[in-house]
Amino acid sequence: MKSEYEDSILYLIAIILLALPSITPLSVPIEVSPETIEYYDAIENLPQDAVIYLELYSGVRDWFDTGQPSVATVKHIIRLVHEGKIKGIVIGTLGVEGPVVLPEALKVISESNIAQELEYGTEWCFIGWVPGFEAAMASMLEDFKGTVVKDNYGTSLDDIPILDGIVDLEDFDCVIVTLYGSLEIYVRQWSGRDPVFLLICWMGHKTGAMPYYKSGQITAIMTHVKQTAEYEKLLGYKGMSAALATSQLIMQFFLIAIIIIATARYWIGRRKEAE
Amino acid sequence: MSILKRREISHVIYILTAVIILLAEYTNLGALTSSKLMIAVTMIVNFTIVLGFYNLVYRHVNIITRQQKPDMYYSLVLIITFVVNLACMYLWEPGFQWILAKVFMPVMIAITLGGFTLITMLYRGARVRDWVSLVIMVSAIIVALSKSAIGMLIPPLYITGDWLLAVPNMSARRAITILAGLGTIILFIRGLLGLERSYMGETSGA
Repeated sequence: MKSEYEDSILYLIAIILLALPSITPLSVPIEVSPETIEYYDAIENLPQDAVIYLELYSGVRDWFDTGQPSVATVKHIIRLVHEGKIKGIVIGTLGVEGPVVLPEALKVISESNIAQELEYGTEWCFIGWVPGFEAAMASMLEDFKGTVVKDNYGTSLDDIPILDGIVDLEDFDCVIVTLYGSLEIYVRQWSGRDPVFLLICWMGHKTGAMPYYKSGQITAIMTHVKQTAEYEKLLGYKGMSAALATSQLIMQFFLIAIIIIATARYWIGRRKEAE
Repeated sequence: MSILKRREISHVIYILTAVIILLAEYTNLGALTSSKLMIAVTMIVNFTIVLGFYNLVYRHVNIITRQQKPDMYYSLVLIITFVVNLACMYLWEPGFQWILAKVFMPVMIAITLGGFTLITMLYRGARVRDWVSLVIMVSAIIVALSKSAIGMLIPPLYITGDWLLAVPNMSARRAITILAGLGTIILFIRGLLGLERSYMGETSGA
């Protein structure tokens, strides 16, 4: 095999393997892990009349990573509002990508069906994109309504009932951050304070978040694909993550096979050189 | 040399800004000035978009006009995509949403899930040459599989993966975070002493 074709052939095999779960009934059983139960319980056990702030810091490219768990989280919150267990949710985004981040937030809103399920203003509100990133984060901690004057549709936050009594970010009972970029900035500004701090991220970020999780600054972490599939199972619906979990597993075995092949090639080459 | 280009001017601005922000952070003195400085930085950063736009267009138009093959075809696709995307974003919102939903997202999902870069990287570089790389590879495989759909089905795999993530990974991460923090402080002190001049586009001193 010519070396310039090797990558293309590997990519082709990867694409075929990825598509397998979509075209065959192939699927793996989903067992709920303790970390998923921890995340689920953190939201489930919020106090009566709790108001949650959901920060959707993820671009459109991140729909596969953090979009699915964000939708599942909003669906969970909708259910709790219907059951009268919590007051509602405020959604916003500080992402530095600005307008590019906003469609992702709108997609989470539309996929979770929150606009149809909850009453705008009293049970949920969308503050849109807040410019300023870390400076805005710090400012929201001191004066939420001073930093975000109007919601995404131009209504003053003073006229939105769900925000009655919210002076600063610490007046929220729970802050959930869906993460694409720098973890440290959010941890630095918002974690370790009064609100329960939950993180939605991909596995790479989870390895970086472990010290903050173990120290209690982050209450629970939700990751994409497999853990989201578990979360969806707990919530009683089947989303895209269940199918993606099978694709992910197949890809992992494929990557392990590549490591073995690459190592075998290396040692065979070395032996030939020695001879 | 123009007085504005003198190194001392930049150095004084650096020190003054740093002192104002630090003072506001620890004593709340000059908090308003510090806040205004932060806002100014945010505004200046926005100008980098203009610079980026100029660089992007300049470089790729250059490649096209010089007719460098095959790069000119890629540059042409890039310029057309860029213009169409920008035009739709500001002039035709449904078109922009269509691009995001039907082009950008599926492509990004394919790239992220497919891990094409990872495939090439592993195929070219992931060779178990000695016992250290063997330990790293085996750890990576255990963590990856423990967090996959079969992780919970094999308890020893799940427990080992969790331990690797919570103990060796966490201690390494903590060490990196502490060292990065120390490095930042050292860099700052070097800047204050005038030893660090890379922010002025110069090679640092001793």
